[in-house]
Amino acid sequence: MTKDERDEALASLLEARAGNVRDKPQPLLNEGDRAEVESLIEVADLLWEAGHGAPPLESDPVAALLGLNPDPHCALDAKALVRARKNARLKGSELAERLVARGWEVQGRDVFRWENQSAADVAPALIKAIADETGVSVEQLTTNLQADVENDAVAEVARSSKFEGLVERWARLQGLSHAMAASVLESRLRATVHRGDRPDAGQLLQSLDALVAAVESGTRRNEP
Amino acid sequence: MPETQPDWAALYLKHRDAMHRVAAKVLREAGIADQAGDAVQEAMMSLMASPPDDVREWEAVMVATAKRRALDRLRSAAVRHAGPELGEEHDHADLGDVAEEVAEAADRQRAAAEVWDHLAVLDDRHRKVAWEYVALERPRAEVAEELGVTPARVSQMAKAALEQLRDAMSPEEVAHD
Repeated sequence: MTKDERDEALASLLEARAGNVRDKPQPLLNEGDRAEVESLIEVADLLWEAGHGAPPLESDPVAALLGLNPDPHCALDAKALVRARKNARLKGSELAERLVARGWEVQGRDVFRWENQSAADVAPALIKAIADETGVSVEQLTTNLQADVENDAVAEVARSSKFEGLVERWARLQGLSHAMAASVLESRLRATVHRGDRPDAGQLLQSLDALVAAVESGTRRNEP
Repeated sequence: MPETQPDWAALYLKHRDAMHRVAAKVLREAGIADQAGDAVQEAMMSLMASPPDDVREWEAVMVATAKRRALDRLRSAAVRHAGPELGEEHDHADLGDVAEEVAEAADRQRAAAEVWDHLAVLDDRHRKVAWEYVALERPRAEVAEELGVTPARVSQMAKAALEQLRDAMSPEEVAHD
């Protein structure tokens, strides 16, 4: 097989991988050429996998639903954190250890930074974990850094009474404050729009309702 | 929420990449890798609704659940495409030993991260071909047009890029099946 034929074989296999010419017969290769082409296809597969990990947090609907996107409407209050931590008789490093035990990748210096420099990047879910570990409510740890109301489609949905009902259900299910549950569900709506979908208000509310109902039904099943 | 509930946000943040990769790999077979996010969402909803007991290794549970949901979607796609008689093949899709499954996923993730790191050895144009055409599977003609070359040239550039990446990687990472 010539170099050009090998190139053509690889091109054909790459196109087949992409599903563009799935039905085209693949070229026959001798043993040496097959090993060469397969080693390149293996690298191509690894590269494909590298390109198909999780999306960025801000466009990941699950991350949004779990409160993993920082929200200026529900931000960690540095002074309140210091107060809560001291009342719980915890050092910064001890609070970090407790968060690590829950699965968070946090170090003592992160706690120091939240208290003394910036806490704007702390996501609602992590604030909830800090509140749990210091024995205070989420409301006691949060502040609204951005009081203006965004005037867009998502904000319009978020002002509806049906959304309010979903917020109450989600807060009850997840043990969150009303403000944090609202923040999380609104973030979930924004992730849907971020992802490129353009559903109307009814569809947005319907999909949120389905998610909340799915978790509710499982919780009911597990209740004694 | 009961105190025994896992911290789902922390767990998801840690394992979401592996979950998406596994789901995408399963769904790729049917050309529906873009549904990986939906499979992962279904996996998380089912885990949150019915948390398993006595979990020692959450990564294993989360990756296996994402894979299972992806296989469900694959089966649905097969049924839609070929009718119910061909949809049965995935009913018996063996998830295998979960620990082995997760170890393999972790190995692949490491190798994928390594090949991603090595993209830096390529020049801009070859990197664009490697990433857009090979990794993201954008149509060859589109990538060719953006680079001002022929589709055949894109194939040549892809081969050159893959050769460079293979040569830059440690031999054990480029193992054949």
